[in-house]
Amino acid sequence: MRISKRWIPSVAVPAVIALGAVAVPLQANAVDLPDLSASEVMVLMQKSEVLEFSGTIVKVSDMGIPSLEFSSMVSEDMADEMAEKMPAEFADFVPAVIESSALTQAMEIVSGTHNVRVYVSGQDKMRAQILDPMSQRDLIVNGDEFWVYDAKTATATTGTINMESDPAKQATAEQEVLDYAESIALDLSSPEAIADYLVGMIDETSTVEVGKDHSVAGRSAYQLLISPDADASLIERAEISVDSETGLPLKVEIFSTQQTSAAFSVGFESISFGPIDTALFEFTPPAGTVVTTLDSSDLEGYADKDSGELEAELEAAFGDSAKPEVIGKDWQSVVYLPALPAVIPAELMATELFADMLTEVPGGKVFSGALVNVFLTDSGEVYMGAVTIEFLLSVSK
Amino acid sequence: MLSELRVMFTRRRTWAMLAAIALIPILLAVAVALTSDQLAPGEGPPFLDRVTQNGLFTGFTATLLALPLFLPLTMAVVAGDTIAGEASLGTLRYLLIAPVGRLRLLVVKYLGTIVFALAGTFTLMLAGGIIGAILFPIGPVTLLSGDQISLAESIGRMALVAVYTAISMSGLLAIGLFVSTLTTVPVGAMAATVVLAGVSQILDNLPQLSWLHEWLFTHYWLSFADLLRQPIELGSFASNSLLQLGYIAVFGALAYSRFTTKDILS
Repeated sequence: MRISKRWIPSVAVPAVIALGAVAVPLQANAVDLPDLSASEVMVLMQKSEVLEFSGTIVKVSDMGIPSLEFSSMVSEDMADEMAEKMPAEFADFVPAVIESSALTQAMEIVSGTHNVRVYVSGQDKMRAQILDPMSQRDLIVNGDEFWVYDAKTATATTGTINMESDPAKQATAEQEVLDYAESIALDLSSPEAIADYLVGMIDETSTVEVGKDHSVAGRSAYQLLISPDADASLIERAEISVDSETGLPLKVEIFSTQQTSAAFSVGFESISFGPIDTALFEFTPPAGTVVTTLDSSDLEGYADKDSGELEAELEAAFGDSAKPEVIGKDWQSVVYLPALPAVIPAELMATELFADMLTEVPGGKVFSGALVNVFLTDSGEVYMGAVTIEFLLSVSK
Repeated sequence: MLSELRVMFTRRRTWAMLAAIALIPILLAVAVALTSDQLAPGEGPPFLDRVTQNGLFTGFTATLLALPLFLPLTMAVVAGDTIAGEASLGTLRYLLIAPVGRLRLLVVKYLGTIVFALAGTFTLMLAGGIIGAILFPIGPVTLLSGDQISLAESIGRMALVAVYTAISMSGLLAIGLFVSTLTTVPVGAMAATVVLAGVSQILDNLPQLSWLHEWLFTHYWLSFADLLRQPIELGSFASNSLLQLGYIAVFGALAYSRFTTKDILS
């Protein structure tokens, strides 16, 4: 039988699409920049003075931990109803909706993918938007005022940052905002913050190299490769992509020795430099929003306390467990807690999901992720660190 | 083309489907209005709590509710009927006796389904806006970013969401057109098309298949929410359009190959 020529388009069209899908990303990676040494790249990064830009940041983490499905389409009531109606054999298919708490929010940052849009204008104006499916969370800093808005719950938090005070206080106030950002899942999304932290850790304990020139978010970039010299470390290497023109860190990726894909990756997907409409930084909570106002004295209160007071507060928060102790240093540091902190709800520990993540070892149980191992001894002690299980067990002895 | 549209829009079935589409926001708004207690923000399915605060949001909420099943169902009925319907009525061969190329017939039929998709999504928005305005207070619409936009701008956003949703349907319509060329039983083509929409949505929810997700024609359906942000996020609009164009190209080519090589017996 002769096959008609008319079938040619049916073969040609998918072939062209497949070719395009392969060729386009390849083309984007061909970049050649003048060679720089690792320290020159770091200086370039230090000199970075980009103060006005907007872009989209994508954060992907693959920590080797099963992602908790905090499905935005299902509320707690709906899950309960489903559980009632489903035959017992199908119980596994009922979506697990865990009550939103600080802890589950923290877990949510650790797992999965987030898209964040950022707008930065000068040193005192910025807006970050976490693009959740069918919802959104915003952090807005405008001069001495800040706003946090959550569209899903229609709640907002506001406060003022006292810029008039002395530089030390100002730094603490800025730190407060950062801490607050962290509590609502923002800090990790800033490549700058993470790059600074990693650079601070570099000394004789690591190898630093310059990797292949490449392209990130349509900009040519240098790449810094940092690999720990410690054998027991779970971190294989960190890659920092630095914009060749402005020195702005564009992407940070952390690779684990446990898997080939990046365990954690945060970087710009698109970025554009230039002035931003200041109206974007003006925020008025819409009608029907529950607004919480943080008193500026609440914020300053922290700054005035000495470290002893803070420690006492931490102790109160962590209940019976005395203050954590750090064993070892640098890449091989292990944190030791005499007992599990009281802030971790007991129900969470009892859930099947959590039990599945633990493996039995002599003397206790190990919770294992791509970048962290936690050893829970039978007597209730906790050892954790970004080190191999063997090393963790040897430290505990 | 005009006569094709005339035929489509004089059919009672087309009007029945549009009326059914219009019923979705109406039922939704009435149900929300009748339950006396206000939904707390964040309770219930997303967007539902917003309806009581602003009637104009009804259209968006209705679109969200209609997207998984109802809208694809009506699209599948129209697309599955294109060729198979003519074949089952025995009118296909008369159409082809007239000096009309088969390719042209396909294109006209496909454009007809696109017009229906636009009619459907705009009906959804319009009915939602009207019933919402009757039952609830209207005013500046609050976007997901917490910013408020004026009435005129929100009507613009409604139109944009309607267009986005119609584009979302265009890939499914192309699949329906192809399936329709395979059979002379329109119900079979319709059913197959709905099943494919369902399968694609299920695959999109399996985390194990995440590498496949961005290739599924249903993947960006719910991303119309990106149009409700300030500044407006057009990234998903572009990705969605590109993806749907790919589906149109592939299934259009398949439909062409199949339709121009087959013997028309009825």
